[in-house]
Amino acid sequence: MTLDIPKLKQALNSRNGARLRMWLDICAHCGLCAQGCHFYQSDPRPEHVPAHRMKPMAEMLRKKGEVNEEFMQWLVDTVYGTCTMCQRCTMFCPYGIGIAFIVRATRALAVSQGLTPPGLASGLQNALDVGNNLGITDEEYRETIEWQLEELQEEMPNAVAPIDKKGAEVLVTFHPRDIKFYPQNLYGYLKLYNAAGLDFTLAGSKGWDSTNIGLFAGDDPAAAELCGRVVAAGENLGVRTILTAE
Amino acid sequence: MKMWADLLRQGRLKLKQGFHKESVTFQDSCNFIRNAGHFEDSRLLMRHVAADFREMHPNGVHTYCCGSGGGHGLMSEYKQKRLATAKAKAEAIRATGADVTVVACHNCEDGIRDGLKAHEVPSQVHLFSNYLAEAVDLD
Amino acid sequence: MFALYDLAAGPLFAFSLSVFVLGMGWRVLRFLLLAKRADPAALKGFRLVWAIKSIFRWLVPANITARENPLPTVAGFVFHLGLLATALFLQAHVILWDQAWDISWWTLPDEVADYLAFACLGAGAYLILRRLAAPQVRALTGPSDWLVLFLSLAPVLSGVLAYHQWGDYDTIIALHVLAADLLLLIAPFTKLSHVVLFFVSRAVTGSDFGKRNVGAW
Repeated sequence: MTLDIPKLKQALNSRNGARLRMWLDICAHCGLCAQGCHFYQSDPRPEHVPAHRMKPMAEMLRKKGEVNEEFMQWLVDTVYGTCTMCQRCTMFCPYGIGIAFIVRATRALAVSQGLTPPGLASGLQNALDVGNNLGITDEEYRETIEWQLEELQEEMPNAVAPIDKKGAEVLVTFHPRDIKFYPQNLYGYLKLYNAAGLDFTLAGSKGWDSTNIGLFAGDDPAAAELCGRVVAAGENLGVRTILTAE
Repeated sequence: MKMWADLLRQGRLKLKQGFHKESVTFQDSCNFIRNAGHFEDSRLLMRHVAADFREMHPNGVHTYCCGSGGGHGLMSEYKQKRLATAKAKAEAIRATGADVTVVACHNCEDGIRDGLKAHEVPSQVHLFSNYLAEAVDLD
Repeated sequence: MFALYDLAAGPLFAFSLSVFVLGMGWRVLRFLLLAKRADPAALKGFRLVWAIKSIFRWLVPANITARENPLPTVAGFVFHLGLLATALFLQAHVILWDQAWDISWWTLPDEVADYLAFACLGAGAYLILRRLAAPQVRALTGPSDWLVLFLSLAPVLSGVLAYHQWGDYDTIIALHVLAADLLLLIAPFTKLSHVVLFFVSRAVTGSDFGKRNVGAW
């Protein structure tokens, strides 16, 4: 890999905000966060202490972005490999330091160098190109819905699953894995909405994926694009509420 | 989740009380509970449909992560680490002795299923929506 | 030694205290300015009630960390209380203020202050041991952590020695004041900035979690 240092510096600058500076400065290195982390609780290694995940960012700022490839690999392994950004450590920190926030900012540095781990990167690319992170086509999506609706109608003859119904109360979105791997989950959702007599609709094409890989990856423009699509779908249909699947 | 709880409170959604007889625990996901504060809503629904509901410890806003958040579900390169560190959660579930673990988050579903398997905890993983859907009162 | 004492307790102290006060003010101001320019989300939808609740829950130990870590919590509180109480309310300190600026306030009985100082040193010893022995703390510890810990304990230790007139009083009292000057001087530029930023950080996080209905913890 070759590093694009100017781009890295730019990413660093854009992330160097008030909370990040404060938190890096005041961390007392007291180690109380270790109790909050399932990584440390399951496997007590020094690099599994949550506060350790602030080190790449602190070092990066100290070096003002002048780092080498080895450093970036360490950064990627630390902030992608040892954190699920669950925020439990923040609940244990006396200062309430948002380590997940700093991890996300650090991931953005990796994104600026195209170093997103491949699994995440391909999911994100699918989401941006096709409209969901598993690359499901519109046809597959509609067929799956129809199939599950038919099954449901055997139990609930009046069940419906309207797509792109204007003026519905609620827009329902899905996790792509429900469509691709676990269609029976769809059955459960549709049954609940129908049983409650909810005035709902599904989104036709883009805008039905409720996940946001961009957020995980630390790629802000992508995250905004993915979120924006769902909002746009909701606005087009004039719904009052958007329901996310997770 | 909030919507289902609201619908239940309003009486629009009818669920059979104590429909699920087997012992069950509930995974408080980082997103729903710690980030969105739906703890009460989740318990209202669970206690309604489950006859033998058991809390795991820690729970609520102090819940352990399933291990699959933050993109870990998609990053196969860190899978071994993910399984090893799912121990904290798996042991918490083992301690409840629950036959079923209900999860309300798709990441958690995968994370917990893998974690339970890796640490040999005999508990079935069910998705919250399906768990509720089975208990729907159609009459 | 008298010359050194006069220098340390006079102009040097005035300088250190000014740096401390202005520096701490600058830390808060810089946070607010940076928040406005580079991190607007930090203060968006700020909830004062949750911020205050959150600060309160951690000023009195009513939180999960205190429940699950009683020993570090007690040590931490004794350490902070001992340091602050003796610095602000020791009779000998207040008399100095009275002589210099003709202001005075409530003071601790000397005996109580003595107990507090010893308790503070004991807590400090525990914190040193914990830093050495507990792997999760040792993994994070760097030179600046040691520097700050020892610099915080130096005024207390020298103060106790001076009060009991153990060792050469003139030397020790001069060192006592110098150590305190140094502590004030470096505070705004190290993690000791938590003197003010603790409140900022807790307020920001408390407000953030509070508005999402998660709780003040």
